[in-house]
Amino acid sequence: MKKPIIKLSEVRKSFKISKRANGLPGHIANLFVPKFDMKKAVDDISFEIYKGEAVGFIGANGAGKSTTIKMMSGILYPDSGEIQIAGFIPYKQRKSYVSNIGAVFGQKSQLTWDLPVIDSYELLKNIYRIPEDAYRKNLKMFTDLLDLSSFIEQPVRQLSLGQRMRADIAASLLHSPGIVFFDEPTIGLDVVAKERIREFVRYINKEQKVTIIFTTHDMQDIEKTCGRIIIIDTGKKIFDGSVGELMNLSSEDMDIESIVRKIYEGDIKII
Amino acid sequence: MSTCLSYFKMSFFNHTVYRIECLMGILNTCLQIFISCAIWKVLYGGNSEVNNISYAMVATNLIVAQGLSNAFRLNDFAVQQKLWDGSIAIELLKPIDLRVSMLAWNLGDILFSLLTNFLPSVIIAGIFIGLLPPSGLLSVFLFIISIILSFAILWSMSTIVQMSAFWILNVWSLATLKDVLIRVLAGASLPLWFMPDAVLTVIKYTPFESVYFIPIQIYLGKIGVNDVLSCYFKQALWFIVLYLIGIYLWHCGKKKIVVQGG
Repeated sequence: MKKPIIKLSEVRKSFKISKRANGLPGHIANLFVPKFDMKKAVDDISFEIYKGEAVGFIGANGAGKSTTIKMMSGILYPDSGEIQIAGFIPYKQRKSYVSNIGAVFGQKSQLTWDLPVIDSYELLKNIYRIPEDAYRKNLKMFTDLLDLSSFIEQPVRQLSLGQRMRADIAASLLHSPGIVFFDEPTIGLDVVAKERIREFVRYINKEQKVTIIFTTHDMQDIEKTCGRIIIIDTGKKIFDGSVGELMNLSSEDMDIESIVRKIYEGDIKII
Repeated sequence: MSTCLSYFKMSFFNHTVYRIECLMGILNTCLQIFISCAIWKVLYGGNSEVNNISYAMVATNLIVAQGLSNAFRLNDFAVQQKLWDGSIAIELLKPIDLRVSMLAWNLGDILFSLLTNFLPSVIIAGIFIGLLPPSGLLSVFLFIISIILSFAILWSMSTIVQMSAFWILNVWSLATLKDVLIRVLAGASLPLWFMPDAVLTVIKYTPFESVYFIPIQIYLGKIGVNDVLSCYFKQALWFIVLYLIGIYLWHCGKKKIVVQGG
């Protein structure tokens, strides 16, 4: 039996949500006696992922996907439960752990706003202590695959969203991580740009044997890149299986998108 | 080390993008210095000395302290901004301590403003207002060591304010309070020679005296070479105390991180 590279068991995380009455009296009362609700973002999630898998991680907005990804990448501390990835406990051994992973957050950029893309890459090279030849090899590969050459010398603030996303993806893979988290990398992109990113994800998964966790709201992303799907809803895991198994949930002939919609709406029940 | 150096370089180069800001910065510092010197000139009312303190000494104090305080300006809102826009997530993905990368980034900022703001402003103000020369080559050297220590103190004060962002989402009030205390108690706008003795006694027990007043006294040769060591000790002690508080806040704070937006 192979050992899983990623293992989550009974992970939980809640956030404080400030709760206040409407109107001026309510706001003033809140100033003196703040009230909070605890919202369970992730509620008892467990799963295992093996090396070389490409897993689509989906759920409605606010289901807890990003929180789970952020706990897996060592940014957030879980309230309880255990996370073990590549032999590390991410949130406890953050500094040594993060060299083993890459993460792309579609809504945030890790590039330096005012400087050319290539300058940010040089900084990453030093941060991760990437050897010169590996850096050159990776940079050349990503420049070809993601077609970066036309804008690599431009400041990040002058890039289009599609260009910035491609530049960001390359940035998070320069240090050849074995595991990569893609958190909505295709958000807001056009059809062509999405397709290019999917192709790239497929390539690094198949050819480079990189383990991929992919969150998205676009089911085509999942169909074209992932072999396995985990669906979470209000912080709980409700489905874990292959694309084929998901298709079998419905007797009618439906595409993934409709099935997933029916699951979100509660029309298809999974036990 | 090379990692820190590249953060340092990035931050330095990031500033070279903005030419107008750089020129306006010099103008701003010069104006500040000219205005406060003009006020003190009026207060002196034509006398060349008050309480054995010459106007030239006061002007030197103001030029050096205000020049430095503009150059040593740290962004107290750095952590808060990272928490607000969620970019703290990106920072934590790097295999480096957040405070180390922030320090390297700050040092890049500071070196840039020392070269492009402090030096030109002091030269301009020195020509038009008159700056007393340092009391000797040795005191220049002792002065430089002392301002390095005062930067360390300012940096740890700023860290404490920044790390508070984990508990209070807006650190504006704390940052303002800190800045006002520094402005009044560190001798940047009111040279501490003129403080009443009672106030001075209190200030001696705070870290503020170590920020600008000690370096300036050393520059002017008001502190004998033998006493310099005990001044350094005082500065270093304050740095260590404030630094430890900053570390403690960071270790408690990082468990409370919430990533806003997405």
